[in-house]
Order: sequence, then C-alpha cells, then structure tokens
Amino acid sequence: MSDQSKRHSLRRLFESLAAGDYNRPNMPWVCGDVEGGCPCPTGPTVKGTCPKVSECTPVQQGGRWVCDRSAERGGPCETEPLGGGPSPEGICCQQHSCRPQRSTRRRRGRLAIGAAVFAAGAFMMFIGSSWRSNLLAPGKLSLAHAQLIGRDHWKNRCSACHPGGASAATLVGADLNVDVAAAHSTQAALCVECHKNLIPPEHAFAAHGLPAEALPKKGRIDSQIVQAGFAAGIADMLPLGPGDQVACSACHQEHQGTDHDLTAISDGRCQACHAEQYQSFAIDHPEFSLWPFQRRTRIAFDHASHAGKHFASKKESFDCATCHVDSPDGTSKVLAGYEQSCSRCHDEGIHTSTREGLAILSLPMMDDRAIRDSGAELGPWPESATGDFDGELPAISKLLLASQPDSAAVLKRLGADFSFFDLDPSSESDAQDAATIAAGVRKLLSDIQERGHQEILDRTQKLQSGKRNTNSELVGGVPLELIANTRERWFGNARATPNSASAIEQASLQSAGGWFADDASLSLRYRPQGHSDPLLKAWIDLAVSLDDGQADLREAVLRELASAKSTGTCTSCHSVEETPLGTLVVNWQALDPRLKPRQFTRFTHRPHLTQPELEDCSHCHKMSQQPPNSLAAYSSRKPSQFAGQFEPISKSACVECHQPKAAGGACTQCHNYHVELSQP
Amino acid sequence: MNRPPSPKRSTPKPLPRAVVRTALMLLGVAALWFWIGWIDQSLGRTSYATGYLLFGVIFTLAAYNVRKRLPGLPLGSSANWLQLHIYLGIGSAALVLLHSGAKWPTGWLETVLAGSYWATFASGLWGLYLTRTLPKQLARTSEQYIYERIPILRREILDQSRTAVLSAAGDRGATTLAEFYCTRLDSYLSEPRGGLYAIRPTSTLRRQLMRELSDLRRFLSQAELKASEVLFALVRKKDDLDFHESRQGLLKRWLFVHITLTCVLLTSAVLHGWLALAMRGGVQ
Repeated sequence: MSDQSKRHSLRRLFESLAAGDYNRPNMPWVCGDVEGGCPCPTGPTVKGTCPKVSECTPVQQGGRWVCDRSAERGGPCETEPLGGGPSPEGICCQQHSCRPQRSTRRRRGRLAIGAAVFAAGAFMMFIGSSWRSNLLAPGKLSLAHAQLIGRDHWKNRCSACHPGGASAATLVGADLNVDVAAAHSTQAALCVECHKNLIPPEHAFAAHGLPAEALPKKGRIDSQIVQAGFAAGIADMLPLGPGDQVACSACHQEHQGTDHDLTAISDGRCQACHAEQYQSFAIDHPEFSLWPFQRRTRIAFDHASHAGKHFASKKESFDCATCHVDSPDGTSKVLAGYEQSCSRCHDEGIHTSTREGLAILSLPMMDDRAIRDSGAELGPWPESATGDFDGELPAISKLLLASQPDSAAVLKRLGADFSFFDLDPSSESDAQDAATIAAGVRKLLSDIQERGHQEILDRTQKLQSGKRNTNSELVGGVPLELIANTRERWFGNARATPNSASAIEQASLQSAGGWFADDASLSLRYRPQGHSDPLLKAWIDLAVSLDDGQADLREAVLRELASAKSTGTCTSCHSVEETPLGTLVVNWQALDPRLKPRQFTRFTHRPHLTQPELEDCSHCHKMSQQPPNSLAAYSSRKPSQFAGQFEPISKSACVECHQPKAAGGACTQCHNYHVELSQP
Repeated sequence: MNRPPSPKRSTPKPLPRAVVRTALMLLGVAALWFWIGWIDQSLGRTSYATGYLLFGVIFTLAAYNVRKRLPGLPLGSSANWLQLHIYLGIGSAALVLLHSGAKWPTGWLETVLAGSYWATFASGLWGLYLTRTLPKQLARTSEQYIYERIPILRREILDQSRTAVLSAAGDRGATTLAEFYCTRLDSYLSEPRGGLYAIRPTSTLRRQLMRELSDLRRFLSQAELKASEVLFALVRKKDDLDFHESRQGLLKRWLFVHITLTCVLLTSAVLHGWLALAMRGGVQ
C-alpha cells in the first residue's frame, strides 16, 4: 500500500467524529463540508487546499478494480446504487472534495487586520492631501491665533507653530530627527519669533523671562523641587528642576477651542517653582508689606501738608480726584498735568523765582593790577568790572567754559564751585587763572557771535564725551544781535551807552521768556517762560548727564540750577534720583503706570472704582495718623529712601471681595508671569 | 480529667475576590489621580504621562488575544489574564477621562480615536455581560455542545430522524408520520435557524412542532408511534443545538466586533501618539 493510500486509509468513520473528535479553533482552514455536517477528518492543508480524499484505494483483482474499504469502516462500497464501485480506471467511486473555508479565528483576524490597515491607509492618504491641516488639528485654535493662522489660503499653517508641520515629509522627519525640521528650530522659538515684543528672546525660556539674578531671592527657581523618578527620555512628563528652561507649551496649551483662554493657569501650576506656596489668596497669601509704595514718588509732593495746611488755608477741599485722574483708556490713574493740578498755586512762586531771570553769563570783578603783577594780561575788560576779585561764574557759563581746555584746567584747579572772592591777589597762579577765565569769557562771546548757535551746541557736545548734541533747547534761541551788542558794549566801544534798565525791569518785560543783558551787573540773562521752561530743563538735563569724571562740575551746576532756591525752583518738585546704573535722572514727569515695564504685580483701578464704597480713595489709600515729612527724603538721590505718608495697603482690604466664590483669588488675577526688566 | 471541649473559633470569611479586585482597581485609579495632579502641579505635561500610560494599558489589554495563542509559555493562566483584562479595561476609562480632560475631542483623528476607544469599551462591557449571562443560559439545556461540532451533530440528528421515519413508513405503508415529517420537520431538522433567532432565541417553534406531533399521535400506527417518540427527542435536541449555536455564535460574533475595534483603536492610538510626539512643543 502506498504512502498516499496509507494516509487516506487513516480516515475514521463519520460516526466516530461526533463522539470525541474536536476541531481545534487555531486551525486556519476547515473543511467546506462542515456546514453540511460531513467534514472529512483530514481537513484542508495549511495552505487551504482540499486533499480530495476517497473512501478507499481500489485494488486490481483479475482485471477488475475492487473496493478495499475495511469492514471497520463500512466494508466495500455497494455496487448499487451508490456508485457501482471503483471505475474501470481504478478510481474510487466516493471521492470527497470541498471548497475549504477559513476558520472563524482566521476570518476574525483578517477582518481586524483589514480594519487596521484601512485606518492606517486612510490616515496616510489624508496626511498627503491638502486637507492635512484640517484633519491633523486636534482641536480648534483659540481666537487670537485662529484669526492669524486659520486663513484658508495658508496651506501649511501647522508649520507656523510646529516645526514638524511644514509638510508630510517634514512631519516624518521631525519625529525621526531628520534635519528637514532643523531649519525651523523648536516650537518655543517659533512662539518667541512672533511674541518677541512681549518676551525678549534672550531670556524667553527662563523663569519669568528674567535672568536668575533678577528674580526675587525667595522665589528663585533653585528652590527645592521634588524630582520624579522616571527614566530619562520621558522628559515631557518630568517636573521642572532647578535651572530648567520653561517652554511656552508648559503653560499655554492650544487647540482647546476658540473660547479657550490661553493665559489661564491654575494656582498650583503657578507655584510649581516657588519655595513658599499658598493655598489661596484669602487664606495664607502673605501681607503686601510695602506694596505699592516701594519707592518715593517722582514728583515730590507732601500730601499731609497740602491736605492739612495749604488747602485748608484756602478753604478748599483736598480731593484726590483733582490730581489723580483716569487715563484715557480708563485702566490706570495718572496725574493730571501741572496746569490742572498745580498752576493755580505754584505759578506765582515760579514767577517770583524768575523775576530777575537766570544769569547765563556774568562778568566777575577782576583785579587787573594783580593780574599784571602775575605777568598775565587781563585784556579788554569793562571798567565797572575792574577791582578786587569778586563774583562767581554762573552755572551755564561754567559748563560752556569747561569745553575750553585752559578754562577747564582752571575750573579743575580752583574747583568748579570757586568764587573769585576767594582768589588771592598776591598769588600769581590765582591771578593768572583769573586772567584765563576772563579770556575764556571773551572767547565764548566771540565764538558765539561768529559761529552762532552751533557754538553752544558744539561746546556742550564736548562735555558729553563727543556725543552729538542737537538739542536746540540748550540755545534757547539766544539772539545773536544781543550777543554782538553786549560784546560791543562790554569789551568794545567804551563810549557805548549802557542799558540803564535793571535786570528786574528788563525781565518783567520778557514775561513770556526771553534774553536780555543787564549792564549793571554785567550779565547776560534769560527770563524763563514759566513752568516747564525748555532751556532750564535742557541745561539741568545736561548737568545730570555728566559722568563721574566731571562730578565736581556737575554738582556745582546742580547746586545752582537744581536747588530749592534756584531760578524756576524746578527740583523742588521734580526729583533728581540715581538710576540702578549709577547715573542721575531728573523726573520731569510723574509715573505713568501704562508705561511701566510689565511687573510681577498688576492692578487696574477701573473695575474697582465701579464699587460705590471704593469711590473714596481713602478706602485703600489711608494716610498715616502721623505722617512724616516726606520731602526730607528728597535730599537723598536714592529713590528707595523715602518716608511714606500713606499706610501700606493691607490684604484685608482685598480679601473682603477676593474670595473664591466672589471676586476670585487666582494668582493670575493680580500677578504676571512674563515680566520685563525695569528700565534704568 | 476530661477537659470540656474548647469552643470552636470561627475563622473570618475572606472577602470575595471581586471585592478585593475592585478595591485594588479603585485604589489604582486614586493613585493615578494623585500622580497626575502631582505632575500637573510641577508644570509637567500630564497629557504625555497619561498618554504613555494609556498606550501601555491598551497594549496590555490587546495582549490578552496574543496570550491565548501562546498556551505553552509560562505567562500565567488565561483566567488570571482575563481578570486583569476586565479590571484594567474598566480602569482605563478613568485614565481616558484624565487624558482627555473629560471632554469630547474636536479634531478628526482624535474623534476617531475616542470613538474607537469608547466603542471598544462599550463592546467590552457588553462582552462582560454576555460572558456572565450566557453560560447560565447554556447550562439550562440538557447537554453541552462544542460550537464547531454543531453542524456535525445537526447532520447526525437529521440522519437519525430520517432513519426513524423511514423505518416506520416501511410498516404496512403507513405514511402519516412521513408526510408530517416531510412538511414540517425535515426543513426544521436540516437547517440552522434564521437571523431573528440568532438575535433573540425562543422556543416557540419547538413547542409548536411538538404540539403538532402530539396532536398527530392518534392517527399514527404502532410503528409510527415509536418513531414519533424518537422524533420528539430529536426535535428537543435540535432546539438545544440551535440555542447553543445562537448563544455561542453571539459570543463569537461579539469577539469579531471587539477585536476589530481593538485593532482600529491600536492603529489610531499609534498614529495619535506619533503626531503628538512630532508636534510636541518644548524648548529643545
């Protein structure tokens, strides 16, 4: 018996199949006759073909083919009527063939894999189409971004924020670290590219966008932060550690819908880096300490004396709203201008201080004999200015003469604050210095007459280390004819008729500001226009801009121009202060909160003033019971040294309304994350 | 001296395993909640944390199908895997809610992903229901049958019924039973039941046929009466077979749905994860 016949003869009775045989479900193919109830026990091959088994293997006996099916399997096939036994060719009359079917498991597997392939294929098709951006977006953009990015004609709008979104290839490349995406760097860099006005790029990813040394010490990121124990590489899940950079997406999540507030962040996340953490504003937020009074006001103003004395003496009510008015956009309180707030009372004082005008140039008394004895020459000098050394150089003269090397040397030697009265006539050096000054004065007038206003600008330029100076306010429109005539009268024609009018008389004629020469005092003077006179302002600004190498000159000039008794009394209100860089600045303007660099804490008056009980400013801004003299602190140039006349604002004033279920107490209501460095 | 017998101490009954496992699952969900909260408070990206975890959970759930095909490896019993599959599957819903922020997504791919997950979850719950109710229903029949053997057994019943009828018909030409068989029973015994029966199996037809066969008894000869007894048994057995085919088939068809949805879910999840990593923000 052949192997094939042996294999086929291993078939068992159909009946025995029901008794104990079990078609294991892991077979990929089953006999096609299963549904009919007569499967062959052999079953299909692994590849799903039917082996086409037969009931027997006919044997040839005496020239005829005979069925050899054993008795256990039913004996020989009946010759009638089932088929008549083997065919003349020796083929069994009962051959079983079927169309194999896939098993249930195999069909299920094909369906599942087909569904997965379909899903993946559909995705790949869409990702290569022009609908890619619409289909890949996990949600709608917030309104602010959508109106910029969501324009239909911008096909690759994903790439505006996602370096991996430029194209399908880039999308693949981004995840496989192919250099295709390198050109667009990182998402955070793309954010900063658009928002660089708000977030300076150099520290964009540092905490609060500030260098570490600019952070308040208690809140620094190098405070203790619990580290996770995850393996490296799952960086997105790790909490931030000391020195880590903070990506924009750490706080700002897009694709949350058009109404999503990108700036919304929970209090817990706000405090992720802070050593001191607070449960809520109402419960354990610390007191405000000195806020908002952390430095003195730029305009020196004594609230207590104005309220208790000056306004009271005029029987007028001291109303905060007279001076503290709403800004045009209603977000802040700003100081009203001088004309509205102060002029009614202070114009007279300014007028009085300028009634003699400001001496720009004044001829000192020269001891010509002492000068001759020293070997020097006085040169042309008015007779009326000859005698014992006396007089002082006006501040502006000092500044103009300081640009001349010889005069500058004298000023350095004698001190910028020197008085001619202190010169020793018997001292040759003093006498020579005096002669040098006299020559310098003549040269100054001569140069101005010859070169005009530019001479003044050029001299001031030399003072400022060569920085180009085009500030014509320094010149004040001085009439060159006046210079010429004055020079002629003082140093030229001895018979020229001097101007007999006094300085006060001449100044009174120039009430709107102007130049005149006082022959009595041999001085060239300027009558300021009144408050905010541009010439006075320009020269005071020039003085404070001098560096420490000219500190002596600077302080001498400021003592004359910027003291309580100076012409115009500018600095009795406009404080001079030291900047963080060590330079000096004059505060001509009061603080405009709208121009302040973005700070950690913000406050808007408008929503508060809608509350009737808060219309009274003193609800929050309470004057001290015994207010100190706030003006005394202005003798120092350090703005942090001040004596406040108002009580610090207490947290209790805010907690009344800022409860979780009332006005709210979220960190971001009052605090900014993105802050700017204070301007020097 | 005989001491009195000491009172028997009753040992505390252990908690049912379902209670213990449910408690563990809830504990796991609670731990997850706090873990995610901690990551969120630390400025970490919770969506990535939950995403990685969720992918691992879904992969583990899908691995049960693979475990069933690897009986030889020491991977734990299938019963334990099933329990893990059930509790992990139910717990994954909490993870999905944490991952999505309990909001339905608005993006196309995310909608497909969420839809496939919740469809898979719903099918899983349905399957849990089926596996808890169907065995009790199947146990009420007289015998238990292997699904793959049902066509063969149906064929066997048919052969037996035909043999019985033919042997009765040979007796003095009695044809009453044979005629009844041809008109009413042959199609019933030879074919599986229709689609409605697969959805909601009833014994209405069986009772009707048996009633008709009972009504026919007074017209039958002795030999036919004997054959009708055989037919009674075969009709009952055929009904049991149909019931098993319906109920077990329901379970197998459910698995078609559940596994297909799982494959779609896995594919969508891979694509979603790939996109999320490709488009992730960050400084580096």
